[in-house]
Amino acid sequence: MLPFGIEYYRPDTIDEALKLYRRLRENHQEPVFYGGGTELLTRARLQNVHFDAVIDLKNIPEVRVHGRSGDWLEFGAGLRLTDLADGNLWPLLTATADRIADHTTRGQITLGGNLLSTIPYREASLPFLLMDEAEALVATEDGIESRPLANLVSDSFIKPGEFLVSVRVKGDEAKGIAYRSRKMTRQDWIDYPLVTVAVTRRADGSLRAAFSGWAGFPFVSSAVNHILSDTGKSARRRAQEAVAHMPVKALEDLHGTREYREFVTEYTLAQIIDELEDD
Amino acid sequence: MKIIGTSVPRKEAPNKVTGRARYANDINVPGTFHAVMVPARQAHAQIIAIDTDEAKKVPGVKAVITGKDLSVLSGDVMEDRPPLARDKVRYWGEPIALVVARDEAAARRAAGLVQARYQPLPVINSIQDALDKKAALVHQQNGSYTVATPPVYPKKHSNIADEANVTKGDMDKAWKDSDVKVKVHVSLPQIDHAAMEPRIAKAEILADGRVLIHASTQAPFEVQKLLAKYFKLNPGQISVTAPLVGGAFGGKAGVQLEILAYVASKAVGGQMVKIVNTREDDLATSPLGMGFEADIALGASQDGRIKAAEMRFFMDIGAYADSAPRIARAIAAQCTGPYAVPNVHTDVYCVYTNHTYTTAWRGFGHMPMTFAVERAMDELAEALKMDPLDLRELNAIRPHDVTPTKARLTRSNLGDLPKALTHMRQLIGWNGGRVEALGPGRVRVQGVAAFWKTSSSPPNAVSGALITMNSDGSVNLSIGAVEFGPGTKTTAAQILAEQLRIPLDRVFIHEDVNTQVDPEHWKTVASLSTYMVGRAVLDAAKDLMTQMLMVAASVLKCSPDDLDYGDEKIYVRDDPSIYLDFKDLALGYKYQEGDSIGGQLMGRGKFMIRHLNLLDQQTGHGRPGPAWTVGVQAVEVEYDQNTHQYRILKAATVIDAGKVLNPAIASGQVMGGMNMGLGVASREGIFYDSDGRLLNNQLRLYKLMRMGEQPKQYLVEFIETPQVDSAFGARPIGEHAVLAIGAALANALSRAANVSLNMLPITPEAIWRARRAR
Repeated sequence: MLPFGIEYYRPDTIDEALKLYRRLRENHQEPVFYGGGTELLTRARLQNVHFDAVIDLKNIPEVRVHGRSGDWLEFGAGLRLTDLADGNLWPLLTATADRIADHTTRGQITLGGNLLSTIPYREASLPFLLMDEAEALVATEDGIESRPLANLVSDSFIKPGEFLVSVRVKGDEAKGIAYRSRKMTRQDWIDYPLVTVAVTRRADGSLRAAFSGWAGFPFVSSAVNHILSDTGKSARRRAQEAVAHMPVKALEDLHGTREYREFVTEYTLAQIIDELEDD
Repeated sequence: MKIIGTSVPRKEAPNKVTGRARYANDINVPGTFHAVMVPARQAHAQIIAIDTDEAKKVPGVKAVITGKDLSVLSGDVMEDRPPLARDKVRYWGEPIALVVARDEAAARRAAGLVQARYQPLPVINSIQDALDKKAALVHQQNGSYTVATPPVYPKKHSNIADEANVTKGDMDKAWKDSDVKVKVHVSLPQIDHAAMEPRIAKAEILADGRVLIHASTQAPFEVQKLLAKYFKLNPGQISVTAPLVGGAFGGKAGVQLEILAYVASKAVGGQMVKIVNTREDDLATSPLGMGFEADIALGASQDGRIKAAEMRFFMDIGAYADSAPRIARAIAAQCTGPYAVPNVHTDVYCVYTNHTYTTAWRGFGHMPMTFAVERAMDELAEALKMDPLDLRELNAIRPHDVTPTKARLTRSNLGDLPKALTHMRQLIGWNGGRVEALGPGRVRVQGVAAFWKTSSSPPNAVSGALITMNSDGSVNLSIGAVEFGPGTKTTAAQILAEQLRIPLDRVFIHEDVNTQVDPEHWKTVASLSTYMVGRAVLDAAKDLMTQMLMVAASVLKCSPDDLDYGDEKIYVRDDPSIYLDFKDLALGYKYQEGDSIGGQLMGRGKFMIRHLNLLDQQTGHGRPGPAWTVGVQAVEVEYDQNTHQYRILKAATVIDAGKVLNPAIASGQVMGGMNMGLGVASREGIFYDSDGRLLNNQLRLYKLMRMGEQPKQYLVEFIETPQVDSAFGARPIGEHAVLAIGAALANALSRAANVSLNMLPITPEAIWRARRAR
């Protein structure tokens, strides 16, 4: 149960949501924008987070978009992870997002909630990080702003009072690409990742990899991508070098030690490279 | 009428599957207050001050209690545990204060505002830390606590809460006679019971002084006795009700929340107060299953006969003793596993640490003990170049052997292990333990392990049964054993129906246990309910029938010996057309003229354990239980030598059930046990950081086996060697399937990965590390 009372609001427009937030703040309240609630509610139960008003964004049409719009493939921040899998508009996104949590929880977790989670994994971001053109549409006081998703993990990506409306990628880029996405866990099918690796192979044969679970945030590394794309070397060799040249050290936690994460990442990368280059 | 041996559904099944079954937290009285515990956020520290001022200001808060307000020390063997930490905290999660409020939200808010200041002390974070000569003491007072239930031998100025020993034969000679020796060191983390229903207790003190407790407990009669003792009440004043329990696994045999609920109710003038564990509380504050280390040395002659067993077991009991001394004796008494070993020296130590305290966990210490012994057995088989199953068969304990504590074994009190081993060969398709290549880096392998267990119950454990008759001739049955899943009530009803020769649906069994109306049953633990309750029900059925036959005899003007019964009738044996219906006798027989005899018929039955004794302090000799259940378990796994990932294809158990009373429930119980044991073996374990903080106090981090992760196939086979002093010959089988399956997995994977895997859980990382350390 929540140990404190909250006010619940469900605005129908972006404007209404922004105004509501401002008004509540002026009223010295602590509002939060609300998607699926899996994180806010579970943390609030433990009193790890405090708020006294929630602004549920899921009734706003722009937050629920799911489909093509011109060149773009758009995904509303309020879509459930199960919506993404059911629609399967972008198989790489499905492959990654459909391995988050369990099915019941994916029926609650929203795309926006996962992308902006305080839990370090945020695996739904990996497909977007692998694209040249991936944008977030953010509702701000000054209207809708588009921001590159490459900056997702920076602290100032979304400022207080702003909220994520949707994310989008170029349809041609997203769909004309070979990919693998693999979530590796300590032991269980349903668990946080030791490491989740999403890899794309473009028409020119170049490889890019995005990682979640390796560090406290999801990332891609151009140095790693460069190593992976060196087809002159064996998959195993490239995987070894990639792991040796990661931009940050691997985490060490109860899911696994640093060395084991390296071991798992290495064989996973090697397997994926072999598969993608055999296709 | 044949009810014994048939797969009747559980009595409570319709209510459970429709969500109508009522558990302790489903019955709520308006106006009930809520109590919330404030957990320590240090593992070992002196308490300097606890500031409750801010908490008391929260609207709705009625009382904030700290350890200073209580003088009680609790513990069913040794009284070492303050219900709320006093002077110092000994584990992360230990309750330091209790907030009582009008509603749960207020209590939780206030609990978050209780501030404690600590002086940190060195954290005893492992068995090794605790045994270090310079170790800080978890209990300065160790050795001077009141002993509630002897025996227990604490060692002053140390972290050893208790020590149990067993010696048999001549070790020096045994080692000389051994051609082959193996040594194994095993290490297992603490684990959780992870019952679906977290623990809960409610307490109310009525104006007339009566104390009403409702709790999710395996031991309502123990709750009654201990509360009376701690708070100087008469046991009769205290009424404890245990409704259906949503899983227990030993974790609800201890008494913790009941004490706090009583204290809370007392602080608010006797109002009903409820205390319900969150999952976090259930994992970090309420007791766990112990952590464990062992050094096993086995010696055998060249032909494979075991000559010597020298063993040291160390239990990480956490911060308080609870049942650990009893568990230590259970381990000592069965320390060899189900094998005839002439020469034994075993020491078992209960070691205090700054970990969450522990209590019974399904198998009562036999699971970790079996893991250690069965790993050593496989190492011995390897050293002897013997088939691991052959080695077990050669050494299997048999009637006329004696146990490590010199208890005599008979065909009745010991199941037939050699037969179980033979059946396992068929059931799993035993291939001798060979590693079979499946493809590049992929192998398939089988592993086997055997178990035995007795009850380790107190020598004066009692049980009872009461039968009353309804006007239609049906019967009500009342027993003191709690229903937490294994079909205890249904089994009792089956036994009664069989004895009275009536359909099962004519037996109505009291689902709850209430200490005021139900006859005493020691505790619903140790897989003993079928044995103890069964005997009490037989006794009560006999009592009822004697009375019914007496009344019928006088009505029918004959001797009771002329009568027989069946189909809810009592009839003259040589002329069944002369009969009375049960319903004509149930509430007394009424003659046509109206005058009546007999009154309501009631059957009383009782049972008391016999011929058990406490183990001798020096030699450990004694008789720890009425009978030993034996069995063998095996797995077949597929293992990837490159990634170290594996998949359990088959898990199999052959167990000597004596007599299977209900095949569907019995197989379910065995499959559930395998699942639980494999979960422990493959993923479970409590993690502490270097400061003793418990890191995985949620089920998202304390991993249990989920649907889809279980073995592809569960295989269960029963053999039936009757235990002649038990109802219909049935043996205890409740806990047993958890005991050896983890060892079987470790044995299989050790061969597959070609490295000794002597620790749990066996994750791919654990295998990878073991191989790297080689």
